[in-house]
Amino acid sequence: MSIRNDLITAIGNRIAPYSNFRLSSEYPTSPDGTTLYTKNLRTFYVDQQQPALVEIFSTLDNAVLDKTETVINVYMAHDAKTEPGNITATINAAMLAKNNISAVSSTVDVTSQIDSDMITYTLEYNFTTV
Amino acid sequence: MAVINTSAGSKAVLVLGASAANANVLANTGLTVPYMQDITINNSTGVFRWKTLDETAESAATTPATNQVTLNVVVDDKAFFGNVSLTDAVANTGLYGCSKNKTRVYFEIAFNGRTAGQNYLSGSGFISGLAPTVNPDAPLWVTPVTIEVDGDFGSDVTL
Repeated sequence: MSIRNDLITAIGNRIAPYSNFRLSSEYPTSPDGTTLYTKNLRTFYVDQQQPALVEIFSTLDNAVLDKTETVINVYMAHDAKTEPGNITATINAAMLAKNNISAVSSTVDVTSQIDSDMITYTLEYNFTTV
Repeated sequence: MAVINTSAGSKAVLVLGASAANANVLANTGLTVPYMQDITINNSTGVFRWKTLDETAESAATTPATNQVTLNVVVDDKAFFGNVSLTDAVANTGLYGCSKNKTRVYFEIAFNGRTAGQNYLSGSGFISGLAPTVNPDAPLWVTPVTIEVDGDFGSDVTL
């Protein structure tokens, strides 16, 4: 299982009590460039994972001792005119999904952006694995 | 004259053994310490100084040296806790076992790889200074290791 798949499962379980929000297993952008989260409001979309190998230590015998830092962005948008019920609880629940991922270090940052009549939340998850 | 370049890997080699023969860098019977991050050989002599009324500067004489080998390693489970499949007592009990049991360890330090005709230092002493540590940003155990050398270093060329 990839970290993305684990994260989809974790977010799905965490936001399950909030029925006015949904989770899609699709990527957030369709092949024609359409952002699906602005088309399907109140639906979480999990982007592809972006791994980076970072050297932990260098050794005299040239051993490879790396860690993998994986970044995954999750997007969700809703109508800016009317705040949906449980929005804060749902975002918090989605953030806590990081604790369900097996990693040495898990962090998440949330940013929101108002564009026209929509608020888009971006949850940036960072996972460190060895 | 030539500098000793270790960038190719496996050039700076530390082998430990329960006997001088087992610690031979060309033999494969001792414990070759893996994942060394750095190694320092200390041959630090003491100095006795005295002044006399007929001299304008101090006189000095060296006193017996304190010899140590210090290194930092990423912990390998078999090197640290021992490899029971190996017969050499040091390789069998590992760094931690040798430290705990205060076992005398013999060592050879190759400067330029495990090939014939290269310089090395040798000696024997006791392992101390183990302090394994780990943290979330560098999630691999690392530990300093000190070999408190008993007596002098030997220096020779591998045959």
